[in-house]
Amino acid sequence: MYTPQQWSKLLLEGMKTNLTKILNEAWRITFKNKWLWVFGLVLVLTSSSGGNGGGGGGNKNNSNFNYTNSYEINKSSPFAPNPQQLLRETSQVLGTAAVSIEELFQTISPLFLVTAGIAFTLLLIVFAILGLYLKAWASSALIHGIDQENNGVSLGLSPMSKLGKQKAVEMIKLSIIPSFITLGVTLLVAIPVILLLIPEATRPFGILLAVLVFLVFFVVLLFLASIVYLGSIALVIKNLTWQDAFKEGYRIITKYFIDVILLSCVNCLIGGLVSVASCALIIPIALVGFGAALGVSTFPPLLIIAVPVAVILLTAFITGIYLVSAIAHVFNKSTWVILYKQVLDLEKPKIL
Amino acid sequence: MNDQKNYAGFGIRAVAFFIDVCLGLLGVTLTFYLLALTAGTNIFAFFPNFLWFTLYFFVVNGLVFFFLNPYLISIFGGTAGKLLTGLTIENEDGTHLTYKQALFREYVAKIASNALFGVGYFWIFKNEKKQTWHDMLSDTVVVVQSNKAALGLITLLLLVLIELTLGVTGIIKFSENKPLLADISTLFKDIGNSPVIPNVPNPIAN
Repeated sequence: MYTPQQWSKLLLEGMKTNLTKILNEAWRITFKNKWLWVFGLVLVLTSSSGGNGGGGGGNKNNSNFNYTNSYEINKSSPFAPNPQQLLRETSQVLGTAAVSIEELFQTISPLFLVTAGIAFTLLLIVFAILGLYLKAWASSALIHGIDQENNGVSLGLSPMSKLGKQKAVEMIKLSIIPSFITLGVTLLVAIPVILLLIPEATRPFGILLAVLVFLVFFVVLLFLASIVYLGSIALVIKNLTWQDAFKEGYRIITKYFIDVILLSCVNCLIGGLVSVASCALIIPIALVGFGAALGVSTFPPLLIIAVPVAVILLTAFITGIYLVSAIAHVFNKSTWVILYKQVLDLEKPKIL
Repeated sequence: MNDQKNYAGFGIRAVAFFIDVCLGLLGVTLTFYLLALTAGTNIFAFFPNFLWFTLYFFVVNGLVFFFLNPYLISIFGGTAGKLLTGLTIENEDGTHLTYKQALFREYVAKIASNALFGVGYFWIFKNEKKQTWHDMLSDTVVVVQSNKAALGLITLLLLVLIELTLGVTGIIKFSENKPLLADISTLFKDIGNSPVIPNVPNPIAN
């Protein structure tokens, strides 16, 4: 049996790239060229919007569940009136009442529904395209900026943006097409398994198989995301097409597996520390807020000072968190770019 | 060549920006006023108009300006606000932007400027060509063709006045429409009392 120290020694010996050099260089680049932070800010913005969307979905499901549930309880209880009956009774008590809500919705014309449908679809498409382009452009520009900084050339916003624009379409293809193909294939494989599982759902075998399917699905997605991430770096640095970039990403992951896993762990750890540091920022702000609330409750005219102070504190807090996240984003990207460049250096034919 | 250009400063660009905002809101306030005028005295007549207004407010207005502003920039060299204040947006070599470039400047690059509470806009004070972040990202400059700051200010004031008048008149019209207000308040009471999760009588207690 190996001890954790022996494991880490083994892993570090298995690395072909130099982790210390990667982290040092990433740190230097992150704080040398601050224009990189602008793209970090854009990337933080684009990644946070996705997270919020997911949260919304969860709430919707919950509300559906409760509603159906209560309706079912109602139907099954012999003492409970059905909802339609309740609506009618409420309308008798309240005059115009609940029936008018139903009637109100009947006034919506089909023309409105069609127009609203088209308009909202168009809006969604516009937002989706804009979001994809924004992410691809900022990501390409950031990789190019880091690459040049590593070569000793500090770029401004304009040249980074120019290259970002050139590479954005190929980057979008790289992030979308393989994901769709893999998702399609995985679903094709998963559907028969799920159908097979339905009669077995309550048995331990069924549950075990479901967990297994979920795990496989998760690992496939994680692997795909890693290929695309490394492929995107190769796409910009080596000026590749999306297909070649995908192949290159796959090659790097399979050939330098330990390096990739270790760097992922280090980045996760740093990300966690940044999150903890961000949370620590809340404590002094909360203390000030608590003190201000106490002050206002004992002497109400203090509200005139407390409100602007609260606004300033909140703004400073959001700015701080946002900026720290952007810097962390740049650092993270830098580590991967430098890892890839070290790999390229290792593979260079040695001239004696 | 570049030294002869008169780059637009923060003040005049802010006026142009607010004219654009007011023009964007003009359609909304006008529709709101029309909604108040044609509201009728019962909720059944009002509701369809209200839905159209909401659709216009949230979607149509936004989409129209989304496509219109880049078009104006590529054809005339600026949005309505910029043209009224005598400013043009151009490439650093003096040529007009293409539609794609304008779309990029307005909706991709401006997101960077808006990040961190609009810090990118204040870069005008630091940059020698008075470029904001979105100007730098899209390789553009904003040049004063003919100084029409006064005209811009007057237009802005007029627009604000028109919108305030329309908005306040609309609100007054609504507040005077007692039957409709009574209908709406009844409807809200109904929604509050509506049995989404009806009280199930407890059979044991009964």
